[in-house]
Amino acid sequence: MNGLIFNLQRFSTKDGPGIRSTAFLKGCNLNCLWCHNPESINGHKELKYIESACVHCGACASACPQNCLVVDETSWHWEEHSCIFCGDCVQACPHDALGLWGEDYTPRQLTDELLKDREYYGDSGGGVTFSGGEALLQNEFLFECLSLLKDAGIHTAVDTALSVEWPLIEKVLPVTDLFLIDVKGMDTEAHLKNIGVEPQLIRENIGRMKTLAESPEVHVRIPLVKGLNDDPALIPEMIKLLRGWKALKRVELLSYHSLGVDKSAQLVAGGEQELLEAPDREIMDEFFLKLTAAELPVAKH
Amino acid sequence: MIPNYIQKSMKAWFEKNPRATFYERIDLFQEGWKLFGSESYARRYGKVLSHMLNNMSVVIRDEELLVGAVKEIIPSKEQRAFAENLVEERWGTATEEQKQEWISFYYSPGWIKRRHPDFFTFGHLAFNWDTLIEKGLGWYIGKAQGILDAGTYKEDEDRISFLEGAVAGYEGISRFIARYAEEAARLAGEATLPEEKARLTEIAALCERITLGPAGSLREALQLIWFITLASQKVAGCGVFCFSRMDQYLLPFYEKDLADGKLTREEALYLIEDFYNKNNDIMDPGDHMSQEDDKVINNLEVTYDDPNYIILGGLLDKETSGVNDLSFLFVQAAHEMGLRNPWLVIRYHDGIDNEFWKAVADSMRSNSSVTIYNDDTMIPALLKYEVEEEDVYEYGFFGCNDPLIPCEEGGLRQMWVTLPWPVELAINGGQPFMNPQDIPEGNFTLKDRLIGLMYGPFKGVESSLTDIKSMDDFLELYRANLSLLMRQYREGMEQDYQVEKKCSRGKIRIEDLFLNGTIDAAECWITGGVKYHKIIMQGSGFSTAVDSLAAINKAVFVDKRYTLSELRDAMAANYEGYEELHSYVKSLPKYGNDDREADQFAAKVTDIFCDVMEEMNRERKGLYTYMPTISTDRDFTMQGSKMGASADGRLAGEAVGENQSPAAGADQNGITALLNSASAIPFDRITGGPLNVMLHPSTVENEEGLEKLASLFRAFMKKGGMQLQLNVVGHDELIKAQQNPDQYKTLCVRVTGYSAYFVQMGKVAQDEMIHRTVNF
Repeated sequence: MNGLIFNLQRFSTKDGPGIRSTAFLKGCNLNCLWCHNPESINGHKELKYIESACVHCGACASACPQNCLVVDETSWHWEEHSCIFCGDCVQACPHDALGLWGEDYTPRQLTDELLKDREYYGDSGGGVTFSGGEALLQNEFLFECLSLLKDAGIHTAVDTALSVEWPLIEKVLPVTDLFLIDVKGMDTEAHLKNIGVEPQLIRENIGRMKTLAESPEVHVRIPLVKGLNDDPALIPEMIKLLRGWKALKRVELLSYHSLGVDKSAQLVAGGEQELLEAPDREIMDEFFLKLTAAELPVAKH
Repeated sequence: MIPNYIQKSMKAWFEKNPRATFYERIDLFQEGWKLFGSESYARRYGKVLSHMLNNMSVVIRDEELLVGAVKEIIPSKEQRAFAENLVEERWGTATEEQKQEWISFYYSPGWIKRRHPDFFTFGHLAFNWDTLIEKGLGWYIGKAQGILDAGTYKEDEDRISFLEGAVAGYEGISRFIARYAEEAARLAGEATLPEEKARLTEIAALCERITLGPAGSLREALQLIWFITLASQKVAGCGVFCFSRMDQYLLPFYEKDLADGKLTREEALYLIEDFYNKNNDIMDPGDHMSQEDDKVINNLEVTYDDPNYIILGGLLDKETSGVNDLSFLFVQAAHEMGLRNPWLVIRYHDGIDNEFWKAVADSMRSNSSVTIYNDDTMIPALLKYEVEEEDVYEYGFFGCNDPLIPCEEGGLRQMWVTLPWPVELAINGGQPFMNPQDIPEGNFTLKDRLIGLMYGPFKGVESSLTDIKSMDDFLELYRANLSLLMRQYREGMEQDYQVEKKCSRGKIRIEDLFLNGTIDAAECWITGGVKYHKIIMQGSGFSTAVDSLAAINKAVFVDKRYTLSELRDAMAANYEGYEELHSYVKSLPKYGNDDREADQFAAKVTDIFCDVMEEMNRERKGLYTYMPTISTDRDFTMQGSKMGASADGRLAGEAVGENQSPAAGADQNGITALLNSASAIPFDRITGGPLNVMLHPSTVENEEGLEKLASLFRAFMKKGGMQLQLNVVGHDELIKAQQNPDQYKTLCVRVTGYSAYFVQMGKVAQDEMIHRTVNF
């Protein structure tokens, strides 16, 4: 069984405690307007093209075994349906204008790679985080990787939006030390508009997790985007959702950043992302103060 | 908080006219040199030094705790011309033989331009600072005079002259300090404010005490060290000091002051900050490693722009840590001030105090001039190169990340060995691709051989590719070529030493006054007055050698996609007409990505380099012990300019790999992958050299980020890393600094064995630095 990984980030310092490596699993069932990993959404390989680096030399077209690239002096065209994502064009490009998003790994290959930094995890109280995309979708693969890492004594974390059927969550519970859960919005209508799904399933899953007798530690992360999900009127409902959750040890407020915009423009088969805005400082502060007042363990943003 | 007067002084340094110079040095030297023209060399040296110290201005500034500064002027056109002629009339008319007698070692034209051939020194060493403060100048005078009086060397005019010269030098420095005591007393008499009167009176009294006597307090110790530093660096041009382990030899003074209630911890910090500021204050602005005229300011100074090193922490013996309260204070001062001089070397050892380690990481995160070295690799390494067990725990570094045993050896002796060069020779039958006899324009051409240290004008071992059946065969040929080059370099160094030895008889330089062994032997360190004589061989272009060997292994012996001769032909053609092959070799695994296919050659190159070095030391042909570092300084551009295309895809003339870094842009897997690749180097055979690491500020922000950074460093050291220096700066910030230099005057970055203020670096060096941040 193979998994599809689109990025391995080492010395990852923002995805859980200590020094970590984060494996980003490709494929997501949400479509957030602010997605900072737009290359993660499709669950298959994708071609990246940096137009500004291309000199139209045609080396990629010559290398392509499927003849799915047509290049002339002014244009560059890719026939997606006949592409087998072999990567020959990427290797042939002398100007680094092409790239492939998505690489196949067996659980053993991936964990061997991740274990290369075990000394750094050990010294810092860190470990490995699986993110995405929606990490839980490649469920069997994820479970295998987590199990192998647990056997090696490594701290494991899963970064998820919990918008999946409960059995997918249940499956990885025994081999996960930490859940990093994104809470992307409280308003039902806005949730559908911003994220592409209704929040019902997420709420139910959170409810189930709260009742677990033995739960992995939970950190909740709340991305805030100006005008989309930063209405302070929604704070009470957020408090209601998170309160009384014994496993919840940390709440982080994440201000929007625009790194996803450039990346989405480089996805040949993707739509372009709109540039959004970070919430005002005062709004961030208000969220912080009110959540803190409700005795939630909010980290300073 | 840095005291106000220090903050003002720091600001003034950044704003001062770069042409300001200590012109009295030039006039007084000229005067003294004539005045004592009939004396033997060593007597004349001592008396001229004394003459300069006794006639230069005494400068006491407002509020400062430590005193000792020079008077600077902006020289007129005529004054500049006079100073330049003074030097030029000697260097300009000298024959190559004379030059070699005067200076048997490579230096750049900029360095030569400011120095008179009869009155210069190489610097780059450590004095016996502990003896100095524990015994005082009077003890030195007594010792040298005692040997003279005992008639030990009564038949030996060279040695008598040496000792008399030393006594004249000591007395000159002592008198110099006494003049500060007198001036402070005079100013105290004139002072109206009681605080100012008290400060000056105290200065007068403490200067008086250390005129001949030992230091009695932390302040006196730092003051005495500063006077010696000022006289050595600003007057005699003995730059690039190692102050050795200041947290050790100053500790008894600090503890006694605290116990006596004479000093608070905060006051001790201020003293250290005053000391740092004085070091920074005498530096040249500019950056001598930037090879562009606009940033190399010829202001006639002899201090240069390299920092002085301070060594902190580390082991005292097999199990005792040297970390103490003073270690913290020295790091705190560097953190608060962010200066490029001094440069702190923190010696890590297993079990080092965690709070101290965090303080070190925190200062590095703020881009202070702080670097870490690992006792657990350095000590075993030094022992392999003939350093004795009784000395090894005292080891330190100077200037270019070169190791030393403080006060037991003389100054700078180093040469570059371009490690990818023998790969080129091996693949091309012993013939270089480019004509190596060309000596780059603008470099001081003392002897072709010395220039050859960097580029290798020699041909290699004659060989044929048909004899190479395996990677092991190729590595053997690599070894044979490297060995040939290194032995030829040694021959050159030892031949030069014979000349140097002959013409150094009866000579003295300021450092001979403060090294162990020179006074007893009554001879300078060059001719044998000290215990250790070593040459650092800086293995340069490391990643280019590693990646080239990895590429040959993969292309020819693993994938079997090309033959050695196809590869050779492509390299000879600079890959023109071989585009497919070029793309392929560029895509092969590179050092810096935690990929064993490449990293195994990091170990192999190092082992071969060190094997040859150890063989050479066992053969013992001549004076020197040879020690390996992996280091280019900033000369990787020059080193690459003479090499043809290499098997890793690098084109002819392009820069070779910098220090221990991966090829520019080759490391794609993040910092732990880079560190894991570096950990593949058997550092317990390597005695120094920098690994420059860059991080974006956001990855290590806040308290959690600090914990992670400290962990990262510690884990690297535990894995056998040797050294690490850090720049925490974003790409965008460097671009802004390049565009608005006035707003970024104090942005300090680490480049090799020293820091530079970014805006003082040349454009090429700045762009190089910016390029390295592209990945984030």
